[in-house]
Amino acid sequence: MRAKRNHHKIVFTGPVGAGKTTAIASISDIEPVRTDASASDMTIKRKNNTTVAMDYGMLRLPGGEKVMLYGTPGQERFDFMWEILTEGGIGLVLLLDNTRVQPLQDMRFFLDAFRDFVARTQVVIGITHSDEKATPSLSEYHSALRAHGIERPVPIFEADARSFDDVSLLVRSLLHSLDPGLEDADA
Amino acid sequence: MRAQPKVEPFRVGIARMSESSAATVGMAIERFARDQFAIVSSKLAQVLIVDADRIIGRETLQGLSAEHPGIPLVVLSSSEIQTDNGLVLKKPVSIQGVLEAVRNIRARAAVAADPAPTQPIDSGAGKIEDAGQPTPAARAPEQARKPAAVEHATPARKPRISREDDCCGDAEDILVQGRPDKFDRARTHFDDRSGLLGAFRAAVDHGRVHGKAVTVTGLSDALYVDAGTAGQPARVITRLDDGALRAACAPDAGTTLQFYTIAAVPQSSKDWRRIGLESMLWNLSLWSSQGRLPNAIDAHARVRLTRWPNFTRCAVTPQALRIAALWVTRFLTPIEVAKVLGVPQRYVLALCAAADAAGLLERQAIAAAESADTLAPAALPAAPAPTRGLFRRILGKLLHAR
Repeated sequence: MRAKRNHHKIVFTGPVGAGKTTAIASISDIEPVRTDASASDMTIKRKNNTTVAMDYGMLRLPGGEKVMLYGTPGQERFDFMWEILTEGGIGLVLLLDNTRVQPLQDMRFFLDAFRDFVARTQVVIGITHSDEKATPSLSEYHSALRAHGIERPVPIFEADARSFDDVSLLVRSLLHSLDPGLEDADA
Repeated sequence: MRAQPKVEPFRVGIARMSESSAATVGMAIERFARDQFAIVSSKLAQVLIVDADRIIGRETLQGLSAEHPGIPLVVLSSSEIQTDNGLVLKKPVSIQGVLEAVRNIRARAAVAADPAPTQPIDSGAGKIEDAGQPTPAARAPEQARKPAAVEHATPARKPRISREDDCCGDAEDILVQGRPDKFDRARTHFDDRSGLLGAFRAAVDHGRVHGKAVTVTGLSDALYVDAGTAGQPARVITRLDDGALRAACAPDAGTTLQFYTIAAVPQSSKDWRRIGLESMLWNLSLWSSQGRLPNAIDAHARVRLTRWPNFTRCAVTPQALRIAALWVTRFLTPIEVAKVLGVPQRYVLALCAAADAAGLLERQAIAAAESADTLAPAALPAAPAPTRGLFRRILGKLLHAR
C-alpha cells in the first residue's frame, strides 16, 4: 500500500455515514472502487451499507501521475488498516457527521487515531449534515481542537460530500496548509 | 547469529467471502504476516478461511470440505456452528483472531506432517508490531489489484461555471509598508458602517443585545436574522439571492434600509435560503469592500486570522486559500501578506475586510507590534517544499476539472 512512484495518496476518514465514499466519488476521475458490504452490528443503525475494507478513487494528473483517494473503513474494528492506508500519504481529510450523538468526540477519536500521520502531514475537517443539525458550530470545533492540544490552524469547513466544489476545496486547503507558499494553479 | 532456514509461507485460501472482507483479510496478511502466509487460490490452499454466513447452512460447509478434501477450515460465523475440520470464530472477529487461528492450523499441519519438526513453529507473538512495509499487491486478493480493471471514462461533471469576477475591485498596489499613505484614503479604505453592510451589522448587534430576531427591510425582499437563541448558531433567512445582495452592497445602490425586532423569524419554506451569520457578514463585507479595508483597519498594523473562514459557504476570492493559509499562522500586515505571497494588495485587503466583519480578525498587541515592527516577517521558507510541483498539479487538476 506504500505509495508507488508517481502514485500519491490522500486519505479520507471519519465515522460511519460521514460521507467518505461519497466525497471520494465527488472528485474521483474513475468510478470509485467500493468495497462495501452489508453493515453489521451497530453500524446498521446509521447506514445500510458501510465500508468494511476501503474505498478508493483516483485523480489523474498530467504525465501519468495518479493521486489515489483512499477512504478508511468506518468501523473501529478495522482500524488496523488505517496505518496501512496512511503510509506515504499527502494528508488527511476528516469528515464528521454533525448529526451523530457526539461529533466532537468523533473528532478527538480520529485525530488521536491518526495522530502520527497528522503530525507529519496535515488534516482538514469537513462537517457534513450541518444543514440537518447546526450544532456543534465551527467555532465549537475549533475550540475543541485547541482544548485537545492541537494549536496549529486546521481548516474546518461545512461540507456537502456530494459537492465537487466542497470536497475539492477541502483538498485544496489541505495542500495550501501544507505549503502556504504554493501558488494557485490559475494564478 | 545462526541463519534461519527459509520457511515457505503457509498457503491461505479465502472462500465464500465478500470482496471487501477478502480484501481486508488479504491486506491484513500482507501487513502483519506476509513472511508467514501467502494468499493463494482455494485449489492451492493449505487452509481455507470461510465466511459461513455467505453459504447456506452446514450442509454447504460440509460440501466445501468435500470439495477441498483434507484442507482445514477457519470458519467465520455469526451463529453457533461446529466443524470437525478446523476452527470456528464467532463474529465479530478481529483480524488478530483470524491470524491466530491460521497459525494454529499451520501448527497442527506441521505436527501432522512431521511429528518432530525441525522448524520452530512461530507463535506469532510480537509479529504485528514488527510487521514491515507491505509490498504491492503481489499476494493480495483480486480486489486489492482491481483499480486498473475498473477504470473507465471520467464521469461527466457539471459544466465549468464561468468564474465570477473577483469582487476585489481594480485598484493598483499603492500601499508601502512603513511609509505614510500620501493618497486619497478612499482608494484603500471604505466605510463599513454605511450601506447594507452597516445596516445589517447594526441589526445583528441590536438583535443580540435584546435577544430577539430582527428583520432588515428596504431591499426587494426582507432579511431575517436569528441571532442564535436556544443554543443555535446565528442564521440569516431570506429569499434574496447573492446577486441581489451584492447589488445592494454597491455604493450607489440608493436603498433606504431599516431594521426592526420581531418575535421570531418566519417559518422557512423551500425557497428561503438559510445562511450562517458568519458567511453573510463575510460576503456583505467582501461585496462592499471592493478590495479596500474598513476604516478601522490600519494597513500597516499586524493582524491575523483567528481561524480558517468557512470557505465552502463564503465567497472565495482569488488567492484566498493561500492568504488564509499564511495569515492563520502569524501576525502580518496586509501589505506584508501581499508582498510575501506576491499577490495584488486588493486581494488581501478584501479578504481582510471580510474577515473583520465575520469576527475572524485579531489585532496584534501593541507591545508585540512595536517590538516586531522592524523585523522582516519570516513568513515562508526560503526554498519551496519539494512537493510543490506535485501540489500545483493537483490544484490544477481540481481547479480545471469541473
